[in-house]
Amino acid sequence: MLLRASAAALLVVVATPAEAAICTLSLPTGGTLSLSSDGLRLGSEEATVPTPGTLTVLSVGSSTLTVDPPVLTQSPAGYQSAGETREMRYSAPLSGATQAYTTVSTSFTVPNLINPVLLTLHARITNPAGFAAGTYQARTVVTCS
Amino acid sequence: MRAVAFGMLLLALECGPAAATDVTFSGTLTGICTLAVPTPGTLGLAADGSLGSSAGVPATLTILSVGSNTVTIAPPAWVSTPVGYSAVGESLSVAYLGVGGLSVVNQAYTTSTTNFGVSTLPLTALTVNAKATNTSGFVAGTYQMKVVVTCS
Repeated sequence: MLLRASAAALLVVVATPAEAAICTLSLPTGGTLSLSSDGLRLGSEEATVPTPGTLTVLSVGSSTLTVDPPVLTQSPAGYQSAGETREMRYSAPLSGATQAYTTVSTSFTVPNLINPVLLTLHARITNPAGFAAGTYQARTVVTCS
Repeated sequence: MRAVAFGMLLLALECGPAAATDVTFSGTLTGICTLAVPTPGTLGLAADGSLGSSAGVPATLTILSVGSNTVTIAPPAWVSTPVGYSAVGESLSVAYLGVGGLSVVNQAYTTSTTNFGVSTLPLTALTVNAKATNTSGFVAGTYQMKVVVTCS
């Protein structure tokens, strides 16, 4: 009898924090890459009007959101990728959710959100050899867990 | 048996559902070539009697190219000369030197139009010198000459 009571108490303690861990990412919109005035950067903030990518984040309870650096998924035949640097920065109206341009994966804690928040992402590629004419496409992976 | 069952429950509840999505960025660059002159040159009278930027300050021209383009440089032409100046016996010439991605470009003084090809090139400087020689010399006053550079 005593053993059953202890087991029931343990179940309550464990279950309380775990109910909160639900995170969804939705409505991704793509950004637009433009060439910088010196020809060294291709990024979403180089145009007169920046065009970031966006994502809606909803978290029930505390979650961890991870943003990976961009990967070039398309580039023209004449593009020389040697020497390029790919970076990502982002911001969201949450404490600790502002990240300057970085080449590595970064994470921040998403608190319990009553309403969804918009995550704004900027990508840029720097190349001292410049950028050949053609179409470029970069992709970043955002994970919430 | 119960201990095992509770251990499995703990594992399932601590690992919340993960969500992942891709955000894409795209853009298309068309072939362009832009020229700018951040530093105009100044003319000075050299020891050999010529009037040129080698005795003053060379001009700096910047070139930005996406794709293959051709830069053409014409010899200098007068914009203004002082009253009393005689153009008889004069010769106008231009020289230029590239740096960085244009380091192979090095044109000695010439009176002819010259050109060179550029491929994709971030903003790069070209130093331009202009010079006038005149067997009659130069009268006092203000001189202004221009060098027309085109990229296409």
